[in-house]
Amino acid sequence: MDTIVRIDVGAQGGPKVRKEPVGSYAGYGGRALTSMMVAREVPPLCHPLGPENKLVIAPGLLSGTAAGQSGRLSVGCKSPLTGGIKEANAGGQAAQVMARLGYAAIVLEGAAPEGSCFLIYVNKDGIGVENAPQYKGLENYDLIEEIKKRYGEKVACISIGPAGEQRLAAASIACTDMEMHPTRHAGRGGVGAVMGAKGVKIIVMDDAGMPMRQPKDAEKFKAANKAWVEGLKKHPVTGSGLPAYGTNVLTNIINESGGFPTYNFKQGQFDGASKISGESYAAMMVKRGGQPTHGCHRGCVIQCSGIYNDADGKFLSKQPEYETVWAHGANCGIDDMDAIAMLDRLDDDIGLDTIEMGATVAVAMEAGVLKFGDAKGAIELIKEIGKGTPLGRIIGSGAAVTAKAFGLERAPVVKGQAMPAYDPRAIMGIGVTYATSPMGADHTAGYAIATNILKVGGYVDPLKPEGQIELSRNLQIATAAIDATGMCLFIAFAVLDQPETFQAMLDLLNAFYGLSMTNDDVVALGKAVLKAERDFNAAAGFTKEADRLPEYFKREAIAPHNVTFGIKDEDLDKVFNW
Amino acid sequence: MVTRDDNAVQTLGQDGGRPGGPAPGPSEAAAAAFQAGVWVLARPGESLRDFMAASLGFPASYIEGSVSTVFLDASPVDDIDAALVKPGCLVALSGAMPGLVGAVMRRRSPYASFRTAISHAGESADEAAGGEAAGGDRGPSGPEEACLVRLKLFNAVLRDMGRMVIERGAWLESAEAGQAAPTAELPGAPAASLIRLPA
Ligand code: SF4
Repeated sequence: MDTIVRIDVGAQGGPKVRKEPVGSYAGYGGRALTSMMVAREVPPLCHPLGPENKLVIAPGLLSGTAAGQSGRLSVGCKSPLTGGIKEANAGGQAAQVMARLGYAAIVLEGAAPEGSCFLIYVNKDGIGVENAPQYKGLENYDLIEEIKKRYGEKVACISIGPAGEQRLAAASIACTDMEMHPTRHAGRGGVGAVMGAKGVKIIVMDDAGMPMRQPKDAEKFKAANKAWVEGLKKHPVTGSGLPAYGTNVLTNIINESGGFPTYNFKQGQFDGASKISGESYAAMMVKRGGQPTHGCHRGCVIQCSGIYNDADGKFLSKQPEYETVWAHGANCGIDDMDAIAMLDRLDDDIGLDTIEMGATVAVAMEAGVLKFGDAKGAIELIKEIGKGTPLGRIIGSGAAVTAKAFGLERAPVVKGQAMPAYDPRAIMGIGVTYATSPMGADHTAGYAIATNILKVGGYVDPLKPEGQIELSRNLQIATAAIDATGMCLFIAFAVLDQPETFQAMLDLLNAFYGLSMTNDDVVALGKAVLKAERDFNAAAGFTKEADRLPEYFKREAIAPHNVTFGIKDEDLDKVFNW
Repeated sequence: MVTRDDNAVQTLGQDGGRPGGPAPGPSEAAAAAFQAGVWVLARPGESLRDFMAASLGFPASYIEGSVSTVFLDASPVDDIDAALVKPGCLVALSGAMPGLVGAVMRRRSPYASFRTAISHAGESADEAAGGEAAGGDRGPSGPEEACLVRLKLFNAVLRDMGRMVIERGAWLESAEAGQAAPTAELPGAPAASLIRLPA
């Protein structure tokens, strides 16, 4: 994994492929690599859909190795949704295959000629780019069926659907899973629109003939991997909670806490929550011959995903994740499991971020385009995006644009990006992260990682309200570092509670690269990534006023706890004082 | 009047992990009922730990090791000895949850500050036993007294303990007239009639 591939899609005479050594990007992977490259090479004031923007696709530092859980793929660019820097990541097979092919990153550069529909093919012999107009306008599932006919079922694909081709700000990039379904998406921030602007429909990767990446110290690596997998398996969340119910096990809990945004963030509890919970989905999947425990890529130990069949026992979609169930369910007043799974399928097929779409449909419901709870109407509305109708284009541009188009104040966004599934008034600490993350409202930006183990920023008293500022900062630093490894963030629970499992992760990195990284190095890496991202945003015109929640979160109390967002602006401004 | 059956608690034992090994989990209908909330007997003013141990029959080690997320009237609870049951309250019990916010909701979470605005702050036994709402100067209840509280069980706790709770007695609100169970006269009982979940 010591090569970076740059493809200039606008070169004279057709796309030009250039390979170069990783050079000064050595030691970076995943989000660290995408953000460092965007920060260094993309002019912050450029238009996200213009030739100056770059789409950087990078596996993690441990992707393609035998390390469990190491298959996340990062996609970075200047975001058409937020106007700031973006890293969106996805599971699926792509990261493992790209890493085995030896590439630290594939970078799409330049401006594609109008009407381009490129297919990029990567295998052990090299890289080819062809114009493939026959795939133009295809939805992701149909596209992958065509690819299977041509390349077989062992390749890994990275593709866009019609939303990306239309360059809509909520467009995602799909990665295929182990069954070659396009179900894993780099969803957030409109990265699919940037791929569309580069005229690239699909990247097909075949790692046949490429061995697994080998560590510098095989013995140490093997021992570390054993401790790592044991740590993941013995923890109650990663070992049994997630495999049994998936991430949607959170629906009942967050609803119970009163922090489950319902009816476009109007209240914190949804009457139909138990009907769409992870427990209910798991029971339904078993009844219909689906699979409640399944990995999204080879080498996943936790297996939080699943296979959801329709009433006839035929595959409909992956097990919808918590964020999707919330976005298309409670937030839109929909308590029908099949309708939510269908919306998940449509989002994957058209190539859309499920969080942004659920938030946007709810805004449209508040605007009176359709009624809260209207599952059929929601399905039709998402289909409008695939068809490219004027209404579809508005919805596909996200919650902020849709609220503006319909004259509404209540758009639950930060930096133009929709908030995920936790109300920031009830769970104020998450509101701090939504407000201050360089990515826009993002729950994964400050994911649970062992700040108490890392001792980032010293000890924080968990019961002091001010702890929310320090904790948010520490979590954001630690998350940025973990995002560099290519490890699925769900490892966080095991790492959080088990210092020996955190050490096993460090040992994996050290044994693989022959390094001697310590906690301090991890913290320094996380800080460096966040600093580069913040600097990019500042140069793109973001001031501290961008680090705020919409005013109505301070004004409108949310039931049942009747709380408003109470963190002062000056405290938000302290998050990045380190 | 229905009273608590303390003998039943003894037969299930207080220690040693899950009673009787891995539980088969309740039926689909019962699982749906537990997620929406059923009514069970409790002792007014008992702590949440005592409620789980004595009223529901959970082994002590299970409470400590597995019931890591607890809500009382929609507030996440850190101290299950300080949070007290009162007639008509809503208790929700869950295993350890994923995600940052899952970790935030955990009892004594290092991330508890993220939810300061909604966390449960313990209360006095007098308040919990009924306080003014139940007649003011009654004082803490005796062991023979019972009340009804609403209970939700989720995920692993539902799977492990659901059947046992049904066997000890769990009631559903019923729209059918004439179904009134003797529990209807207990403090905390809802206005609707109640029918017992079949074992
Ligand atoms: S835990 Fe879930 S998201 Fe993470 S790699 Fe496994 S299946 Fe994919």
